[in-house]
Amino acid sequence: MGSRRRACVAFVIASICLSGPRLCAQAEHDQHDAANGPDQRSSLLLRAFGAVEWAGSQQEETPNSFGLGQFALFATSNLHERVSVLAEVVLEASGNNTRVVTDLERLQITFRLRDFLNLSAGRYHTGIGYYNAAFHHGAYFETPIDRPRVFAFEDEGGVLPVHEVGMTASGIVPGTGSTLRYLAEVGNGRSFDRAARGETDEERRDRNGAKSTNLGLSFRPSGSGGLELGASYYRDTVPQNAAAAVNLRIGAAFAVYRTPSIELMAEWLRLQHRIDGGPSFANSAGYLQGSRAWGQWRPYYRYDRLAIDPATPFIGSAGSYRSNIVGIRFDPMQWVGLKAQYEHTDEPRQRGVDAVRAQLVFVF
Amino acid sequence: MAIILAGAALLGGLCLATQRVAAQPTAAADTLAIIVHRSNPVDELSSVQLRRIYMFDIQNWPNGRKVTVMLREKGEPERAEAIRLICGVAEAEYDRHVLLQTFRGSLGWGPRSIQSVAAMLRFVFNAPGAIGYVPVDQIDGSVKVLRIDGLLPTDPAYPFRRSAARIGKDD
Repeated sequence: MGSRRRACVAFVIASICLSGPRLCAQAEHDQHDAANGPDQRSSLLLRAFGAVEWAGSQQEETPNSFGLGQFALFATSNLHERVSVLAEVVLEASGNNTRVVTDLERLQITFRLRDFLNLSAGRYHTGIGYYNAAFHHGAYFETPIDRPRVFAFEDEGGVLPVHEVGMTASGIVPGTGSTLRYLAEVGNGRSFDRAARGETDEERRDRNGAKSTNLGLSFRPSGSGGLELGASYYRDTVPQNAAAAVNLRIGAAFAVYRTPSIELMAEWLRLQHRIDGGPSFANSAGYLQGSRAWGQWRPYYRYDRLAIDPATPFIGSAGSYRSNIVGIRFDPMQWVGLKAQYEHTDEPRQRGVDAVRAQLVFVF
Repeated sequence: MAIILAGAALLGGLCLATQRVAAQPTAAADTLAIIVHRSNPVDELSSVQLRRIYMFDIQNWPNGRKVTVMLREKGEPERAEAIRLICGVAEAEYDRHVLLQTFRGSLGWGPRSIQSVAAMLRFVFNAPGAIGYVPVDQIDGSVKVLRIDGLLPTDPAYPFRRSAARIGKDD
């Protein structure tokens, strides 16, 4: 972890130094000399996503408190007309803000051969369902505070392999008029024992030869505005101990309708853990989310559900969770958003917990 | 998509690169002609295809060349107007969309910004994959003007006139 942290800090410093006066804000500072043609190689786009939060609940043992959310540094650049790189580094403050935990969340090189074939290699967010690869660590882009529980990050007790190291292929299915898209991923899979040792399970090396695979299809009907329907299927074999392994299967389906004013999202996932020569555990999770913008204001609602059998290997401790969230988002200006929400949650140890949270998100 | 664009190219077949576009002076200044490099095989796009190009759903021409999307500089009224006409969204929403697509890794870089009409024409003349727009009365023979939904900018029903902006359209 130490060397990784040093590498990440070096990346951040290098990014800032390299960007220097050429720090680009997408197109706005991109004064291009037409005579030079479309050379985009020397440009580096660097963006940062920050969040400041406040939360209070009826639980006496958790007093209301301010806190810092994730600080995500995102950098991307074109090495060639068809080759680009991106990196996403997340810095998180410790409880008393005396130290910073650094995670390299994404590092990818992508070859954009044609619309029907984009190849990437590196560390990526898995394309299980919709949410994970849609919003990454950019809280600004999310309507409610936090991800649905099923898409929680691994180091926050998440049940899904959210990050992996490997290769991906994606693109438009030829002959479908850009309405049908595919995704294929091959990665190391999740390593739970490292997480159990207190490390986030960032994969430097796979623990077995079995690669995880994920296949996805999504359909965007022509003329339907922001409608997208899709499904994915993930499989992996995860070593449980020296003698046994767990066969992990995750099926996901989603329906999403997103326009600048309306957002309707629904996802359902089924997680199956089958121990070699032993029992099998089938669990499910999902969420419903809706919001409607009126100018700078956007009220929203989310129903969030996670149902995990406590006996399930690796993720049994996640238990069952159900939450109803009602909130409102206010965008006073571009790249700044303020969210406030009320949550009513049932968890394994406590039922009917009420909480109020607020989050200020920004991009610069 | 390449197949669709190729089909559109076959349907088009009219290159205005060397043609004079005759238009009424006042209307011409308010009509945006969609322009590409003269070697671009595409002669016609539907307004849906054009929107998908500007929203980066389509990033390659039928001949495999990478599309370079051009817009006027931020702060120029023509930029917001063009985004509203072509994409049907406000400029701020478009910027947010582009950043989200970049953040997702779906595109390597967003639209190129150009300071003036003359620079837009020069860029498109020099860049085989570029697509941009200029007021129809400022077109010269250096670029190709695309038909949109089968219509030339001189057609009364042509969709990209500033007075016909679809303000607040979501999709």
